[in-house]
Amino acid sequence: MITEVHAGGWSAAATAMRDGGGAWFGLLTAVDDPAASTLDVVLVVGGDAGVADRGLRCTLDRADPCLDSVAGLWPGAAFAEREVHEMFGVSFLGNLDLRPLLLPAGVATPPLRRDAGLGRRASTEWPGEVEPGDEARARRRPVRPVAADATDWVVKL
Amino acid sequence: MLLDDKCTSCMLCVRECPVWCITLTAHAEPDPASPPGGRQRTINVLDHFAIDYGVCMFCGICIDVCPFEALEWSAIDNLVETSREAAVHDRERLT
Repeated sequence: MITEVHAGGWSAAATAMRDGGGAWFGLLTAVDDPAASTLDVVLVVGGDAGVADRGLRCTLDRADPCLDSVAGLWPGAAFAEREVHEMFGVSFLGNLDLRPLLLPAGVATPPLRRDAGLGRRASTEWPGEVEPGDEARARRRPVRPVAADATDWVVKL
Repeated sequence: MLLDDKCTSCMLCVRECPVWCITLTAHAEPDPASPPGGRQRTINVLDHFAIDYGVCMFCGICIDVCPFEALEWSAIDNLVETSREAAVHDRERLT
């Protein structure tokens, strides 16, 4: 079961969940919704024996997503927060180690935001363009699945 | 794993792959089963087939879309390579 909480009640709700039998950190991730200008952070924790998995969801402002860290409750969450910070640009207050895991410095848009362009794909040759066998007899050209524009694959909402 | 005697070089796997990790080339040859007197038909003969395991995400879509069951899951016990180029498994390594 996922419970909706406000950013201000995130820490308290997470603490209550841990103390209520949610001892095992499951996952922490985010969902970007550019149409609504929001970014949802989702936390799922596993229960002790006999306690079902539960979760929290918090809707944040996409322009400045900021949330309290839960790394003090589940140490494993620190790494997931680091990843969500890198991939979605969410700041976790109280998590002192938000160093990037993969990306070089200076990436403008966090890559898992839906408006992040996929430049590499636009510049890569599509292997499906090759027509096997007798190319001259091919009835129609295969259509490349994405357009040349780097941001064209972004879902239009 | 590739069963290359079943592959007709139809390109479905290459075009469906979401991460573009499969490459394939083929050439046309006269079809020996083509009936005499009629127009000479051709068949595609596979020249090159490779999967880049540095890119593949093991989604299995290529296996699902293959109409001739020329691709199938296989147990690869070690995909660790020392270079990006070595992660590209060609036809010899896939069959």
